[in-house]
Amino acid sequence: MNNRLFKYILLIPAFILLALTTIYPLLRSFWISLHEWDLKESAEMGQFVGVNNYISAFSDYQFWNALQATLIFTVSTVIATIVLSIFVALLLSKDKKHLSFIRAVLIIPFAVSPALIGYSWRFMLNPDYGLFDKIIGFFIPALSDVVWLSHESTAMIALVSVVVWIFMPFISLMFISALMGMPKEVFEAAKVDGASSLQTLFRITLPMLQPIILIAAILTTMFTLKAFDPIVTLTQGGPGSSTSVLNFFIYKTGFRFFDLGYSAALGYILAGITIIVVIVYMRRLVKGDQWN
Amino acid sequence: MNTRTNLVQQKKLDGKSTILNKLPSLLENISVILIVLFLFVPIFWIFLTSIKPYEEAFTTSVIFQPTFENYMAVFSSSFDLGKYYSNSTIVVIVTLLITLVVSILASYSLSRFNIPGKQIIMFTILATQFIPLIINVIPYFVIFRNWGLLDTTLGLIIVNLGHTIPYAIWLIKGFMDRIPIDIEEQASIDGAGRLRIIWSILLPLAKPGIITASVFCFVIIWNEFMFSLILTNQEAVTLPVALQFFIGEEGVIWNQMAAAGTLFVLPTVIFMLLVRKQFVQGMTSGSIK
Repeated sequence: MNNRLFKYILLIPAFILLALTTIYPLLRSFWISLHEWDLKESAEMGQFVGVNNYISAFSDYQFWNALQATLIFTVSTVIATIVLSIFVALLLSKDKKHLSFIRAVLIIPFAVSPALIGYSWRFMLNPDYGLFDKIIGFFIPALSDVVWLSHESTAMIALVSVVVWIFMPFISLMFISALMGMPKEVFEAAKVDGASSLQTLFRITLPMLQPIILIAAILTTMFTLKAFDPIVTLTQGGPGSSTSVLNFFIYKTGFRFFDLGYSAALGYILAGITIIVVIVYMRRLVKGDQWN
Repeated sequence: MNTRTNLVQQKKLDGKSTILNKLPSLLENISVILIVLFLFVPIFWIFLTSIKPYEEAFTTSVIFQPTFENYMAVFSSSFDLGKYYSNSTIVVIVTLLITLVVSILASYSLSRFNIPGKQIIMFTILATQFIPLIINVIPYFVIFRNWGLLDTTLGLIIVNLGHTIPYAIWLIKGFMDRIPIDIEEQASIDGAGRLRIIWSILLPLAKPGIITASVFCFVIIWNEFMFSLILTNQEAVTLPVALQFFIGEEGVIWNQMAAAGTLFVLPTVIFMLLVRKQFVQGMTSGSIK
């Protein structure tokens, strides 16, 4: 068979499927975002309104609220996940038998459905019969009466914790495999030079981890901006709209209030934010490569 | 990897120069225990709740007469777990088969041939995943309503494909890049055709990558929640969305939800444990590239 054609024939099935399942809906969604379309009133797409849907977002206090919730949610989740994962990786990356067993089962939480995790944390956070309240009340009695999911700030703390719970095992595994792959000579040399463990951590380990930290940050940010299941199953965006992050707000606008045009426009705003964030990270990543 | 020398070196290091050794090892062990508890108590609690009798489900007791009645109950006609299980299974198997076939072919082409704009193609494929998928659900909802595909497994298969193919191409291509091209050239000199080379030489060599991609896509599809929540409501509901049926007007039937949840996560946990090593390697090296 002709080589020149062959390589394209191999690509065609995947490209056709991607075009139909991703590109086409994306374009169609953009078209919808330029129209008025309230599904409660009409099954047909309404008037062309240009960028009106995008403009109205800026005067919608609920949009600003969602943006603020997204910012708090994303920044705290990414920082907590990365810091905790590095900590976990430092603890678990040593060559001991029981640690290697823990490393082996660390992947399990990654396999558990986020929806089920959301529900089960709601169960565990219940003030009457929840396990979590019993445990925390035992150690810190002052916290035993907190009804986590019914206050605005504690609901956000609970949501962040659950999402960190979901991401941390996998990100930890990334750091563990990076730490275990590091040349041991460097650490020996540091030891010979009399570096303290904190010095070793900040001067050697963390700088060497830097590319992995950036990749982990990109992944976590992307995942957090797209987070959906834990919000629906844990807080439903509440109480009030305190945990109604942008992704959930888009869902609510589109499929509970059926304002399809506005919802699509909000989706593109979130896409824009995601792309900007990823580009910023990517540039740092490329810069980091040039240093090496 | 030279594990033996690593082990020896590591042993030498464990004595003094590892990072946290200045802290008392007691503190270190407590931290490890806390991490394990934080990660595994919720999972353990789901399982424990699933074997609790109804009266005990709303307590934190750990001493009770274990029962399997919750597992029996979720298969009864009032919940019908079997139906949701088969919906999820159909969606996973069909999506996975299509994803693997088209992604293996595409990865082969992208890994072995000089294609103009290859970098851009690879980035575009990945970039579709940066975009929040909720945007795509809106047109899907409209299209499926017009075509009568709402609440069908076929609809779910279609939307999942857009989600799995990019990841599969990236993962499998990463593995194929590492297979030396000489092997194929040798076979082609011996007169084997292109497709034959892919089938009987490259596929066996790329098996770890294909398995990793399969497991990753399996987890994505099996746990997929958003599409299923919005695009189905009764007939084609999959397991993660079916969990909400335990939330009734009188409250949540936690013990039965836990039983359904345990049966739901079991396959993923088993798969993950089987391919854990390859999976982490594949994901890490794939994301660095």
